[in-house]
Amino acid sequence: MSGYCILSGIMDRLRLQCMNRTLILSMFKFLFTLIFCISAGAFAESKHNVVIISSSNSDFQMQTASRIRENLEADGDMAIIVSNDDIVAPEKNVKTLYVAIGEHAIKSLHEYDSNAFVLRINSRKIPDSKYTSAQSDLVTAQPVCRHIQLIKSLNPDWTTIAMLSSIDSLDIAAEFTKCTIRQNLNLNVYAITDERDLLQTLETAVEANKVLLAITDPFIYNSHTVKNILLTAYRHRKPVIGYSDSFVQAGAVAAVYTSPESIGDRASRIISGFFDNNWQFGKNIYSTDSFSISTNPQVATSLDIALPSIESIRESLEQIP
Amino acid sequence: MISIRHRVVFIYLQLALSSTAAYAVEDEFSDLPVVLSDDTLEQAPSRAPVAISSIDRDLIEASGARTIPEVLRLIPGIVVGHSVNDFGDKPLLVVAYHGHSDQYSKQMNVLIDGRSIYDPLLGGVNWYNIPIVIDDIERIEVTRGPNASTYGSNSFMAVINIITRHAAEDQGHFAKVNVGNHDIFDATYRYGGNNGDLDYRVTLATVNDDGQDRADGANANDDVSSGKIDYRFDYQINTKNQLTYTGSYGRTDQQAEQTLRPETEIKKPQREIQDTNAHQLLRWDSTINKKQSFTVNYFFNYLEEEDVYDTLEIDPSAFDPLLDPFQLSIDASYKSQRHNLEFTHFIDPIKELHLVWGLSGQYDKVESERYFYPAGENSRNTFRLYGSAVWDINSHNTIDLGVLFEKSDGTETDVSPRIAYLYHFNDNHTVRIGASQAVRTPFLFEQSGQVFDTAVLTALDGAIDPAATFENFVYVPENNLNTEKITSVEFGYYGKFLQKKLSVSTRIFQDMLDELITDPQVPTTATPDFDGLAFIYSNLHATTVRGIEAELDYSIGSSTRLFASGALLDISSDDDPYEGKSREYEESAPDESFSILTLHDFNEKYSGSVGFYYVGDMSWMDANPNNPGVRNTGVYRILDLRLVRNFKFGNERLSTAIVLKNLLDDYSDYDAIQNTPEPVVVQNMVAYIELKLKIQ
Repeated sequence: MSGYCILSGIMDRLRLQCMNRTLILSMFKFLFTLIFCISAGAFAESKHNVVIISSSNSDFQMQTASRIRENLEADGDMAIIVSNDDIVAPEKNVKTLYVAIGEHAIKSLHEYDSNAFVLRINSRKIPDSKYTSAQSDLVTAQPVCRHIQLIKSLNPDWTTIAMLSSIDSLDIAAEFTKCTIRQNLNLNVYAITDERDLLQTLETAVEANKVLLAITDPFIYNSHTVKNILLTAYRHRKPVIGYSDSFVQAGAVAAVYTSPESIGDRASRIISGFFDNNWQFGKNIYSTDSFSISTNPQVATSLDIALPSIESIRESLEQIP
Repeated sequence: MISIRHRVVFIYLQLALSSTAAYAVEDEFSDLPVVLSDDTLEQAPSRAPVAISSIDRDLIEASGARTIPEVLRLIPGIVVGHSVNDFGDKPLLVVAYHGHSDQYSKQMNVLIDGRSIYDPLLGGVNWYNIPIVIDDIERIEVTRGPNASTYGSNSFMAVINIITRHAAEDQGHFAKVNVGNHDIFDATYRYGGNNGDLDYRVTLATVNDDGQDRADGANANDDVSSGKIDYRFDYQINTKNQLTYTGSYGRTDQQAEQTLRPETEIKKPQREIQDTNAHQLLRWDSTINKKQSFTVNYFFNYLEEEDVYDTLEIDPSAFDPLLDPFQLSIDASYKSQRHNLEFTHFIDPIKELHLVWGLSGQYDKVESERYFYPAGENSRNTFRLYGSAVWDINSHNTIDLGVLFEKSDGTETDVSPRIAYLYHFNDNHTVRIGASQAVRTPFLFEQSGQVFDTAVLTALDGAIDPAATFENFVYVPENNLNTEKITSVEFGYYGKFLQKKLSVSTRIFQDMLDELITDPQVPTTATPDFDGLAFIYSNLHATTVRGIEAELDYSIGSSTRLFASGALLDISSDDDPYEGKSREYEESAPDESFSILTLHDFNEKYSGSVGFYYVGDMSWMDANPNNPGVRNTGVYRILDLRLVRNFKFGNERLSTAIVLKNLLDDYSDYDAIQNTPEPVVVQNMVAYIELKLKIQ
């Protein structure tokens, strides 16, 4: 059955070698190719075909993909392939819905087939995205005012808030500014155009403000820079408010975010509606309808911050639509 | 039948080699590495089971300190001395907490990033020779009181934990030069970089000065010159695992004054002593899940001292007028090494409970012909099992328990427990009642050291050769030496005022020390042929230390900070079989001492600091053995000033500072010589200019 698939795997292996990757890596890829080929066989016979592509194998993305898969499999006759960093492409006459999780997967899929049926799951809307009845976004970011409300609920004295922003996130920073003005808080946005300026700007930002609010901007917040940011803020004894549970585990004091389970549940409902609606999305942009709160008691204790209970924080955040 | 109708194409998402591109694939959904772990976090004073003082980077810089002990003057109850003594030993910087200290401050553990640098041969720490550069230090935490379950062996009267910065925080170039009087010339260069998930820094430094002056103004023979390199690599294996590798190598040349004590028969000459200090450390931090993490830590310490000399001439005519004067050829060199492997597991089974347990094994070995006659070496294995539990019963009540079981070769299994109850009135006010016990294991020389001098003597100007043999046991081991023991009880308060801008920490305590080890010179029969006086380490004394300590940290506005501390102490001791000995303990710490350091930013360009220190009169334990009741280190006051001018050019930051120390009267912080009112050396004004350049 899998003659072509094996050939594909061999081709990939050869391609990997041409790319000067290690032989070990190519062998792993080859094995993964075989696994996906076998999955693809089952994929062919189902009523609805869904391919979930994640940008990475992070816990968050894997949990999201897994939740979608579980929900859809329970929902009816669906063949689902979950792929980490590969795009599994069907033949052109087989309709398939792609669920792309994260910006990287979304962009890669767009490059592969810009007309594919796709539900794009990302924290924010991807600039220049095309919206048709076949392509829609599920935006997972929490309302900006909910992040601000989180800061207020943690400590009303944190009235001066620092935010680091690159050119890619200036629009987000502007939304936050509007919200803080309404709430009589002082948000100071520090623009970073050169990554070499990050540390000095960060020092200035944490010195001059009571709390640092992180936003989803990979130029500023990524797995490498987060060390500097958290350590520097900690050295100045200033709390960092993150945007994900992972950020809180890394060392932020708290975050409000959409959990992978919530995203998975929301995406599943959208997908079911999509199939019920004869392969058409009902909206261009969907948003998540719940939020989760994560706190880091160890960091808070070390910074001498008395955290309110999760329940009281939740009550406070529920006031924000 | 399943048919293959799909063409399957795998498009590999290219992970670009450049780090920027790699991070660009990250988003809200990406995993992030654990940065602030249990091992990294500083314990909040309001949650600590014992009194903890923390000296941060700002205070270290503002103090104008060139050495770590100078910074430690800010800690309540700590006294610092420069032991240019009259024994003929090398000068040492001595840091003592609540007295009980000679030039080897052995009742206190010192750690660098959790690595104990307690000297296995003679105890204490040679602060001149620790291979750490003061500019790499993030903060210094001092635990006042015993805390063996957290910090391990010899965390007896206090623990000094020096924490260096993560390599990610020291990116770019950093250079510093100090030039001043007393031949001060210090230079530091550091480079920090990264490559993907690897952060690293390498620091080179040299510290030089001519030490102190004699009371008559002449330069004392206590020049110190050291060079060191240290490096740190932090590698993020993945989001849950990190490796840290640190290493260092340092060499210090020190002048040692000749023996000045007139009654000492065997006098050492003035000479130079070379010390080498190196270490390697590898640590693996792993986060299992939200509730569990562990660390595995291995380190290797290496110390070497080269000290070879001939004594001044000894006149044996009192024994036999025909004998010729002679010299002893002594090789007091030694090498010591320590291997330590440790596993620590952090568990939070429920939100209100934080558990830590761990075990470790340590191997110490010392080679020295002089200190371990005749074997030439000694070694010891130590095994430890420890644990602690912090239980937040509710928002007001916390119980903190800890225990250390320790078994060393030559000692019984020791248990060091700790219990503390904390009551939090609210977020700003906490009281603490605590009790703890700890032991100090005798260092290897105390436990089994033996020093023997011998020489072949001639008579009648060499006409009779050999005429006699000189033999002298200087030190003889005590076979049943026990660990020193401390039981400490305290009542502490920690409060925050003025919108948390003012924090106050105070405690009343009583420390009961027992089986204290001293080395009286007593009649002994070391061998059938030897019948004379020798020093023998013995458990002879018990003392009680009572006192009050306070510390406040006040941020006045956004540009001024005041850090102050003080201690009132009373030491009492038991009756002593050796006349006068117990009085030494009672006088070994000042009854009162305090310090104030004020920092002020005038504007972006100018900042400054003023430090004032007061230390009451005291006597170091080895200062005046035959003259009890005389506190020969008198009251002294220190005034230091530092004025800084900052410049900024793009990403480059330049600062220049003038540092003036000891602006009040000359003083001595370690008077040792007896029978004279004059101190051996005095601390007089130190002035230097500091230039610092940082390019990121």
